[in-house]
Amino acid sequence: MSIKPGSNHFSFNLHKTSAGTGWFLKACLLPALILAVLLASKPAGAGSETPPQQLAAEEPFEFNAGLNDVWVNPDAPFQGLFFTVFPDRNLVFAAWFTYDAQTPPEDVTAVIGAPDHRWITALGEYDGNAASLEAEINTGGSFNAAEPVARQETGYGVINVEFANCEQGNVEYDFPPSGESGSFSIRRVANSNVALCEALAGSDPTCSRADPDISHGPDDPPTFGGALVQEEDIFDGGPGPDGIPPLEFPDFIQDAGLIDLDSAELVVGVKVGDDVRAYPHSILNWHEVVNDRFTVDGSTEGATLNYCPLTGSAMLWKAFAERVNKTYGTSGLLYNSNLVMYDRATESLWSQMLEQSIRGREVKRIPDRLPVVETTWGTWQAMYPETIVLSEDTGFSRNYDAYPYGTYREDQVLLFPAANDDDNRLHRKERVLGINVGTNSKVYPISGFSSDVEVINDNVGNMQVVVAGSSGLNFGVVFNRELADCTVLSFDAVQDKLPVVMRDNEGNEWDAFGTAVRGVRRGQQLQKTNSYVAYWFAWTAFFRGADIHQ
Amino acid sequence: MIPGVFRSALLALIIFGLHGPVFAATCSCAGVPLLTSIDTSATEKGDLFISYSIDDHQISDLVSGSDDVRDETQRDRHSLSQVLSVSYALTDRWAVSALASHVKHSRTIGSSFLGTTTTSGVGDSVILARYSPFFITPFSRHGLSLGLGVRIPTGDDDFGSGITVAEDMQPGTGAYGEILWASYSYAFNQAATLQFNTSANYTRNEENDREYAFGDEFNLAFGVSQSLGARFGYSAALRYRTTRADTRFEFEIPNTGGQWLDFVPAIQYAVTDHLSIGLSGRIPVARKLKGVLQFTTSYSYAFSVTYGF
Repeated sequence: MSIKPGSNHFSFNLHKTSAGTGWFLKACLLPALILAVLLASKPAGAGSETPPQQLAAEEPFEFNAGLNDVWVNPDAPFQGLFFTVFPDRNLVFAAWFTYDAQTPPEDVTAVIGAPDHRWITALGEYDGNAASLEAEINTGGSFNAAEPVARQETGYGVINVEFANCEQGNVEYDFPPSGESGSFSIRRVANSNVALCEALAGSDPTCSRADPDISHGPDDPPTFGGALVQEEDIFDGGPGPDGIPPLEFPDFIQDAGLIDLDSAELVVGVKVGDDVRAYPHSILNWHEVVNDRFTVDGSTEGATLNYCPLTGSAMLWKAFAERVNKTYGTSGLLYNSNLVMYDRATESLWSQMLEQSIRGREVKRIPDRLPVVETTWGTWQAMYPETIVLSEDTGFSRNYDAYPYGTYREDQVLLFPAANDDDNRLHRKERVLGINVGTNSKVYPISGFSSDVEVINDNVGNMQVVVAGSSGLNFGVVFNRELADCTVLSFDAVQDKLPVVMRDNEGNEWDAFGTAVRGVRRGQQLQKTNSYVAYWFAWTAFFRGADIHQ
Repeated sequence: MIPGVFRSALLALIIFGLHGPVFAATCSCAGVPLLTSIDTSATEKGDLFISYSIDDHQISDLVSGSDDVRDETQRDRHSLSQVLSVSYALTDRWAVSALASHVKHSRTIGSSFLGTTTTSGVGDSVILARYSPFFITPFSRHGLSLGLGVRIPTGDDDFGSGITVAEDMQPGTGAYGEILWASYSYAFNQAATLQFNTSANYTRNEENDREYAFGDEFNLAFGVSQSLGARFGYSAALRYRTTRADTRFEFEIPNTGGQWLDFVPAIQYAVTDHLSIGLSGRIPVARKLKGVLQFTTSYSYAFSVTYGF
């Protein structure tokens, strides 16, 4: 995890990429330092060594990403430190932009900048509110050029940093090669990130969010003759096993110009790793199961996209079998009018909306689930213009322009028995975003969202959730807004910035998959919930007595 | 002894007898032909006929409306039905018939990892009363028969190894049905060796205990039959059939119901004066099915043996 020089910029290899941070930092430094001067209440000569202020002990305080900022010594204007904290790595990086310890002779010149400009970088682990960083000096490079390659001289010294709180810190330095050592207090150039820091620091480090309840209902549900549901409640739909033929590793259309989809047509959107795909309902209506592969961190993983046209529900399940066939098929059976799949490794039966095996060797097993976003093609394409689309060239002779079930999507008809079918609080085919938390269940009708993106900070059972949806864009998603460190975020809607749909109280922006795409929490993922879109009659068949968001 | 005239009639009845509407309607394409060997011809008081037939029905054509569709799932679906019928003439005009059946369905999806689904068991039964106000004799060239019957759900309708299979795979319908039937024949010659035959029947299907009802059905057939010599006869007919969509909870099931036109050839051979055997087939000529995709009849054929006392 060392910082490797590349020409005159830093190659920061924590993420195995090179990034020209040096020139960027330098470009940003001058305005920041001007700001520091404007904000500093005690200007002083450069290089002064003000004894460190006795910091008020505040227990406990720990390094967090809210410390990422420009920090200055009020007694040393036009110079300062940039800190970058990597909480997931327990590392902190410091870049100290300063000057030489002595003014160079007047005949010493520089082509860019001033001959007395100096910067020192340091990297190390933090422990609580303190970190000891190994300093390095880079030299021998050329401005914005690959050659000559700069040299990185490690072991230049040590920089010790300690923060008492989000606004005050101390720096101690010792650079043996130059004989320089000392300490000084530091403070922020501006207080914009103090709230974030306090929010991150306020979370109890001993706190750990409860593991998600991945099951729908009891943790150890009763069985009936080894099956999770009564056999009399499972119906043969008629086509027989794989009579509705699943698609196996199908083709996708890459060229956006060749995609012929109406913008209002519903698709199931998937984003796994770098793979962004849309599966049109018009094709899923005829096949229901798509066994596919995705590339995650350079390796190929199997996953099955399953959609039930009778219940309007879509899921993405990871392949579970360790060996042999990891794919699923359609069993031809239905439970509560909902798709029952079978896995080809063990021939166990799986209820789609229960998200669980209901019979066979894998009974009670819950598949690893990946999020999907059901929306219109127009909205999905706006979210991810680079998306590819499932091709109609499936190898099957099906008229994908035809809907196979007549007026089913709009009428009140049930083709197969479903429990609780007299719960008529909503139209049977009303599309709802449902979430199940333990024994608590709540639905948010898609049509009930505002036309623009609407965000609802809500509670379902003992889970604090954030719901984002839009009737105009035709989507709805819900996540746990409590983070792993027990920080509970609150959200507002973001308009006209798809796939970004919400912003939290820390200023981070999050997309429809619950991923932070901007802000200090960039890359973090909101916890997935037991939720999906389905027809109302189906949701209430599985989760009786669900609350309805008004 | 089976007079020649009766043989012709008998042959006609193989073709034009109540065929198909009354049983576990395999995919709404008339899977189980219960009444192929009903003797609805002219009778004399005391005549008794016993007939056994076996029908093999292949239901693997995939159709969208009127267009054949290639079936990549390699589906093999067929029904084997055995029917035993007894007819007795109460008077010269009144007769009663009773039929019982045994049905075996099988379904294999060739592209699937799972095996064949098979059901087998006693099917439904029919009791039919027939009245013939007039019939073909050496002195009359016209024959008319009217029938009224009921299908009785004597067959299994909840077959399954725990999980109940779909209605079209059940040996029985699980529901009563009411049958109306009529046939008319005209003899072109006094010996009645060449006849024109037509028949029509209507079946109204009730719901089973899972609130599923097969679509009501109407059949209409036209054809000719001819006896060649003392023992051999043949017939050929076109049969039109239409069914309403099946229903569950009184709502129509998509992709059920439609119209079919079949060519039905048959031959018959009188082994003795009392015993005859027959072979008939059903070949689809045209069809127009409801919905966007249905499996329907590829072909069927039946073999029958009839003994007259």
